[in-house]
Amino acid sequence: MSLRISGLTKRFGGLTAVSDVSVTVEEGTIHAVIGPNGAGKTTLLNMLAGDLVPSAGSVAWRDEDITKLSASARVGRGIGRTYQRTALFTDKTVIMNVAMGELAETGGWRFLRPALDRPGLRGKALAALDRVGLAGMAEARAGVLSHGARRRVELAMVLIADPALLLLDEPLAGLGPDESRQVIEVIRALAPAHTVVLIEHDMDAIFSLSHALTVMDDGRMIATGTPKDVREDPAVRAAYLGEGPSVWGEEVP
Amino acid sequence: MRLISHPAVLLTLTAVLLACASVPFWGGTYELKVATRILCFALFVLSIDLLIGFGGMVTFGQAAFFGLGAYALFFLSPEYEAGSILVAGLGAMALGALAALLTGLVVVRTKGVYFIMVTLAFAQMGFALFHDTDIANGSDGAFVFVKPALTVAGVTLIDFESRTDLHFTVLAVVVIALAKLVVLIRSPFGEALQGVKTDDRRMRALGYNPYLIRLAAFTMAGALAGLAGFLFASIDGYVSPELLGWQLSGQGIVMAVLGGLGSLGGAVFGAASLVLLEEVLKDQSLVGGFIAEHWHIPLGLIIVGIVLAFRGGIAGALSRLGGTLGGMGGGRP
Ligand SMILES: Nc1ncnc2c1ncn2[C@@H]1O[C@H](COP(=O)(O)OP(=O)(O)OP(=O)(O)O)[C@@H](O)[C@H]1O
Ligand SMILES: [Mg+2]
Repeated sequence: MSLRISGLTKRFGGLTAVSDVSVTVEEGTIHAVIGPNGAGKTTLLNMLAGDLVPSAGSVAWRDEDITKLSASARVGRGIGRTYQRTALFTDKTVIMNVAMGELAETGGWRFLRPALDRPGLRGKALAALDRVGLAGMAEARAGVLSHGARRRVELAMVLIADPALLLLDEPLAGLGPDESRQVIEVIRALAPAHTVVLIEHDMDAIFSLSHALTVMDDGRMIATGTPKDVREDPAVRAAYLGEGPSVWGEEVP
Repeated sequence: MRLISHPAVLLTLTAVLLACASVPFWGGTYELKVATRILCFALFVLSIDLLIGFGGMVTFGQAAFFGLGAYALFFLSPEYEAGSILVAGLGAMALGALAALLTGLVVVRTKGVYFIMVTLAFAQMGFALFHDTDIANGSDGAFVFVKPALTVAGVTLIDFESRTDLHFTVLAVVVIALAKLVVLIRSPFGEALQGVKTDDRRMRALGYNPYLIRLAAFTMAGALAGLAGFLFASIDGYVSPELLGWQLSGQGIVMAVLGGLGSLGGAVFGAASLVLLEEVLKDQSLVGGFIAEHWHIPLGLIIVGIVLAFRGGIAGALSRLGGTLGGMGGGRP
């Protein structure tokens, strides 16, 4: 059982944003996707989530071909995502934002009782907020939150639905050091009960979190494997070392 | 969203509705007809607020459903005896809902300016259907000679031939509609609708179907507009293609914006202020002959003034006022 990506390709007009990517993500692991800006990481994730239709290739999750499934159908298969650019409902309270993830179960087809009166919902939403350290902000309007807090609400929105596969697009971007540490522990705790595909730029976080790693550059996958293998991969070193200061930090041998 | 339950908005809403309720006790035919008209438009504007204020769907064709509801009165009224309020009223809602559902299948796929254009196009088709054919006397319009009544076991409970009966019925319908909409807006469906307004890609990623949610809201708004049109046509017992026209759709938007989008109560404020302003500005004895003759100009200026001065329309202004006076921390989101 796994997430199998085969020959996935996305072209935008003349630009090939993702080119022939094939990776298998084992269930219960945290699989990081790294690469410079514009490498095609988000585009890849969008195709996994069903937000973009691939130009070629296929995605299979738990032995089912989901390439043609809509984003909302994929939610029904236990797949949830977060966005790189925070997409909160700024008019709603923080707790309602998080509750939306759980209310989706009914598709919104309930007309009588106030949304938060659904049995157990408030408690579940507060628990999800507590995991990202925001239980105290539950009643605030999401639009007034700091950037870091918004990023954490974004994560709580997917946590509450408890999907088997989480697609996280730069969940640490813009977080302060304390927030970052907290979110790293939340992600770490997801495996092995959940499978995570994690796009990140923070190398320390990636090496401390991930079981496997895929490196992308210019739409292509240039390496995939364990963090150790990837770190020693000549193609990766060439791609990154060519760019000046090492992204591997002090650890580069 | 928070505007609905803001104390200053609620208080003013109650006051306006009570004022409407008092009209039969002191007013003549003219005053009563104006008050009933305000309430009918309030219902109509509520349907627009549901779409624009909560669903982000800027409709420029809502009068089509209003007009269809009005024609339902004509079609469902026997020529020489009173029809049934229940049959005609439910028929008007069903017709409005059905027309909205069918056009909605196409309309809710579009957004923004395209949504405006497509709703307008469908509404103009409806207008042409009644204007350019012989249905109900075409462009001349048609009269309903005997207005409907509600009769149970031989006892007539409500008779629309009585202006007072009609007025109180419309008032009750407005109060019920307001209450139902408040419940709807706070329900999971209402939260989803507002979610779709903000970000429908995100809603899809969470597992919702924005298309169906929009379609459901569009259909509900069609039913509500149909009911409003039926009640409106009952005032004079007259229907004409103009009731489906773009002018009325536009007036509805003006009332919705003037009253304050996304506040529900604003529908009542917007309908009341536009209808009253028009009546006052058209009255020679109040404003003088020159203004009364060119009343559109001062009306336009006043509307522009209110929209510029009060962000969030009248409801928005009230919520800020209440927030300052009562320390309720109101303010518009
Ligand atoms: N909808 C789109 N239409 C056209 N081009 C796009 C679209 N989305 C992405 N691109 C292009 O595809 C390429 C890959 O973008 P993508 O967002 O996937 O990169 P990324 O690896 O996530 O970068 P970053 O680290 O900056 O988030 C970029 O050149 C981008 O401009
Ligand atoms: Mg990206």
